[in-house]
Amino acid sequence: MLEDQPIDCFIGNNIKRVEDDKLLNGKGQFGSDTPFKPDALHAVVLRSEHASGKIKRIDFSKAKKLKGVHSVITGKDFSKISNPLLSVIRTEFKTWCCTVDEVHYVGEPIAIILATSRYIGEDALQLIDVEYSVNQPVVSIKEAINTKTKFVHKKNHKSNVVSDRNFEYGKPNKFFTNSHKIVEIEIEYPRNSCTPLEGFVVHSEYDKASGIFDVKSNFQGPFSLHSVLSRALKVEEGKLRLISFEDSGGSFGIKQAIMPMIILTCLASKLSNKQVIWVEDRLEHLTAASSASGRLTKLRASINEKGLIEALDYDQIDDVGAYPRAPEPASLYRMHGNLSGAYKVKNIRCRNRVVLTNKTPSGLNRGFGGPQHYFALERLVHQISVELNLNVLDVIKVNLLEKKQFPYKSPSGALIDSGDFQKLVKKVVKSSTYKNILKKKSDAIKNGKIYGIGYSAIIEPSISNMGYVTTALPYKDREKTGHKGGALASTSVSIGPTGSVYVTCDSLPQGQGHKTILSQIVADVFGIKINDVFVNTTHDTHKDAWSIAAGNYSSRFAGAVAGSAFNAANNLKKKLKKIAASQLNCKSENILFDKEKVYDKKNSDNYLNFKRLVGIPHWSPGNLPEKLNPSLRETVFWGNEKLRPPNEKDEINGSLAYGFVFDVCGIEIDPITSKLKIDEYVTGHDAGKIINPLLANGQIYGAYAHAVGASLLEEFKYNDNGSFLSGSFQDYHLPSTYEVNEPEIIHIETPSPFTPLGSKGLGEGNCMSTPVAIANAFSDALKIKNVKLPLTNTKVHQYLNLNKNEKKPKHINENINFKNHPINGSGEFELNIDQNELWEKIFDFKNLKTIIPGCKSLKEITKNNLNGIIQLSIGPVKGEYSFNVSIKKIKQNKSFEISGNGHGELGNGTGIAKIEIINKNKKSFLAYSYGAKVDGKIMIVGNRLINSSVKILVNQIFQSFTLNKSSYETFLKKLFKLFGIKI
Amino acid sequence: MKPCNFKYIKSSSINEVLDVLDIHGEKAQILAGGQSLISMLNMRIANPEIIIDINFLKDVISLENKDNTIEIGPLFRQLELENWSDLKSKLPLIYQSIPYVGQIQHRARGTILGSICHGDPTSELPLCFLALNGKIYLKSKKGLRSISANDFYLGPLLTSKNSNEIAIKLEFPTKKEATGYAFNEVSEKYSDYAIASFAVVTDDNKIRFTLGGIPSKPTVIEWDMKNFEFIDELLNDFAWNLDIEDDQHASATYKRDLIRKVGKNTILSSVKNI
Repeated sequence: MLEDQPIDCFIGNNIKRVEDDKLLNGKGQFGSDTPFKPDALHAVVLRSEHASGKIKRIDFSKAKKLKGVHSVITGKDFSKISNPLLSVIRTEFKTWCCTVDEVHYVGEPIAIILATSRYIGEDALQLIDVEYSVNQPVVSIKEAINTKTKFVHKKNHKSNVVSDRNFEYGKPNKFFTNSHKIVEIEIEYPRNSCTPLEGFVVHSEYDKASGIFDVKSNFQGPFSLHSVLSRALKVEEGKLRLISFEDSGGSFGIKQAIMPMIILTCLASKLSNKQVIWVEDRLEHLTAASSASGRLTKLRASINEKGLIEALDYDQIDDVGAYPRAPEPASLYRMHGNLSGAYKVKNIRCRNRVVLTNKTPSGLNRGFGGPQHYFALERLVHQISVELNLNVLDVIKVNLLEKKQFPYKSPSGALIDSGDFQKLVKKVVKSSTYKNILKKKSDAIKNGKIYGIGYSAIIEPSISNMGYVTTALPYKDREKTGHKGGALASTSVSIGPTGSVYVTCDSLPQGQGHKTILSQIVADVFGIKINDVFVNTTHDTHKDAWSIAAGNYSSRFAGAVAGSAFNAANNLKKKLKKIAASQLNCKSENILFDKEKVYDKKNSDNYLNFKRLVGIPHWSPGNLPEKLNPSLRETVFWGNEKLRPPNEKDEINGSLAYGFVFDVCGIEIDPITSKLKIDEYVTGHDAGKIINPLLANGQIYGAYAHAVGASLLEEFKYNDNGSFLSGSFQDYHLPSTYEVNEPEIIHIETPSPFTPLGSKGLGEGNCMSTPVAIANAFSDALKIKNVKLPLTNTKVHQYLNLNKNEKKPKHINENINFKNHPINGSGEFELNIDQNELWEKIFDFKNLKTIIPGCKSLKEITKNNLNGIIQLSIGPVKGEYSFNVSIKKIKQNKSFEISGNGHGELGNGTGIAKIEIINKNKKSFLAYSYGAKVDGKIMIVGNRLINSSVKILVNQIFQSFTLNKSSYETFLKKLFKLFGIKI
Repeated sequence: MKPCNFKYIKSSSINEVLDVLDIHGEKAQILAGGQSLISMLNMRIANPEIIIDINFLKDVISLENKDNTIEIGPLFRQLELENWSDLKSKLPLIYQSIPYVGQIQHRARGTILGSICHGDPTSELPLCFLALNGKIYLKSKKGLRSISANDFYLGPLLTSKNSNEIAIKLEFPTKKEATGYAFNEVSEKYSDYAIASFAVVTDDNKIRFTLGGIPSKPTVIEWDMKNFEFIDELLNDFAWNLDIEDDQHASATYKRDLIRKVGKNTILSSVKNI
């Protein structure tokens, strides 16, 4: 900690962010503000419309002819000049950044178009014709595990499980065979993301002469991926230069997933000999950037009569999407050391499986592994209280680690550095919010309202051990590849001739306030003003210090990076003290830095101005005492020996510091609208020494908002086809200030003995603690065990079980055919013509063309097999589609079936319809039912309109068959006008 | 998310617009507030060849307060109406619904007529237009015609406006004596697309109930006040007759439940307002 700390120090105070004036005035220099060469080419990505299939044929000829299109590069072209991506888990298939012949998820890159502008590139995209043979995809974890026929990677694969490991710590069997009680819970955690404001941006340029790839991007680490990138590019380390942009529009981890596009743009630059620019748009980001992993966990606990957990048994399955892209399966292993959470439990069994599904590959996302992990553990704790009829708070208290136990080694290897869990729980329980929550619940019971209380108690790991992910490999394999463990952070501090202090570091800001925090720390060390410290947070691997742990992730800034800045400044200070001592004729240990002056502690009149002192090594380096090196630049690589590789017992200390978070929330459910409202929320944090409470609370509010989104609204949805349904913010719902209440924040500070300033991370805690606190409150309110997030209105309605009282009027018949198709419907029309006439009309294919709105051509290719072109417009949404249909199962004057497929600019689809002529009450009716599946852009961004539009179209076509000539013509006129077609 | 090439025409008079529409109506799209169109252009689900920007029209009305109607012109912004001091007394239904129209930034730019002509089945203004049975004036080279809200909506984003026509005026009937107005909406989050929205007008004789969000277009049903005691059953029948389907955001049973419960509450508050 700060020895001879200045009296009015900045550390620990609410210092306003120094970054904000520029950002709030629109002067930020983000990726898209950064200039590029005038002849640079813009990359546009051709992406798969299907979740699974083989590419049969791609026709680029029209696209290549378009003026402004430079070239089209396919997966095959890329594969010839690069290596596949290295992954932690060895797989039989190759992880290419751009697929070669199969597609594995909606949004997977198939080719890159290089054009003189993004506009032209997108024009070209529409001219490319891809023909797939589509396979049934794997869309859920259970399916991935159980299927015997569907595999994400067809050629090289017999199973969708790519990693399966068993762990045992202590003696779990002893407790499970002879237990007072066993409580178990099964949870499913959805896929979601933290959606930063700014998407991915990359400017790549290959220099033929030097062979160096120069990459400016918003990649923000971990820099262990630098070796993955350079290996894929087939160059030695130094030939891949990564440079950051000046400002960043957030990340929350997901910018790590820019990695494949860095590779593709580099290769594209090499092939085109031009700088290549790629700016991701929102549609691409939501569809194909990355996502938090989905998780299915069965967790059992052996409990004694007081609710003390004696042993835990985890069965965890992580859905990493179509490829286990590095650093996955880190989502599953980040929490491995702290499987026991904040609790005393000594005996743990754990099975970890990693499965593939036909979904976007997962990756870093705020909370990384924590939300999934604690959702199971804290739901279990809640369930223990229910099944043992105990107070939840008592169950938590019985199990919490005690102050005297720290530093505490958990059974699976975490060395929990410090804490006083009881003190924080006491403080939260004393808060006014907690009292309100209790009172509101008892009032609600009296007033017949639906109200619930939820708790969660978690430890929040920060400063990741780079070796934790290797726990996914058996010890033998780790021996072979070399043990990995540790995490370095580096900062450089230098001082100019007139007292300006410069700071650079190997962490790239995402909104944490790097400049503010580092200025505070360095200003305090030298006793100078914050504005005299100049922090530059750009990073260049050719110029700045970095290690494989460099980057901004795992809440490592406050604990590790800020700590290394503190150490670097103090090293310089030691040197300055010696110089000052020689000038002031006193002992260097008596030198004090304060208020821009350097004093002799014993005689405050004996001083030098800071500016004057630091000028000495610059102006007269020969006059330094003790032959001191005149350098006023100090780089510190800080690490801690507590971070070791996983050992032969598979014990792993996954992180260096562990904070404690204790939350309580009260929720209310409106039985009319089925809306869940977070009524009150209190969140308690012990993150060690807090450098700047204002910024710390900002981090907590941010994580809380993300967590509210994850709890109530956000989910990446796929239908049974593997079609992606959340491609825009109209379907992927983010919370706004209206949905996020302000939680009460309570802090205590138990410094970490392992970090230079005693600080721990706190920016991810609520992403881990809040979703499960809300779920526990929901479980409490409705007395239900199985709670699946997000708790949207319709899901709450389902849990309320309100549909059971629904009275269906007698005259309603529901369509029973094709219910398994995402789009389906049925209808019935009375015939105004006789059955023969109807039959002739339908099978007169020349006439059929005039009946189908927008049908531009219709040809019978072979008997009862037709193809044609149709133009449709729904308001401003216009598109042309080609289609093939065949008519089957024909029973003259009775029934037939139509099946077919179509494709066009906005998407493609397949459909089937059954048509019957039925007689009832001496009248004839045409009855039809249909089912369809649609893929492509229209499904990703416009699916809310598809169903009703298809319904109208189909309805109108069939109705037109049933009319007699005079009414038919007026009907057709109306119909064609409806779909914007001139007659 | 960059639009296709299009020809941009900035018009200063209705006649100019009509000239373009007469020749190119099928391929042209009118740009007013752009709050729906621009994102559809960027996502390339709308690819018009011509954009006719009407934001600089000089020969249009803004808002006119007539005896029994409020007339609104094609460039009157939603926020201007929201800020109009007589809104609550003259158009209580719009007054209640307009805070639900997007967020304030959308309303600052979005126009009343634009929203009504776009005809999104989840939009609030088309629903209120139908509940009040307002009238819209459509002009083409061939002349001017008016059409009532009852006949205006045909489907999702589908209206009876022809491609050679521009909407130049809208009439909302002003608040009538002994009439109650109520609006309500349920969505996943504030300002989002409505899962269900309700606009109800009641007087001593009848209940005019309109529903948005669930059906493919704003949908109206009228009940005699005499049947008020059977309202639960009427709402249930109405809900089932809509042939509602599950979608990714809401199940059919949830949607029917909203019609029964929130629908009823909206009717009750409109009755209270009489």
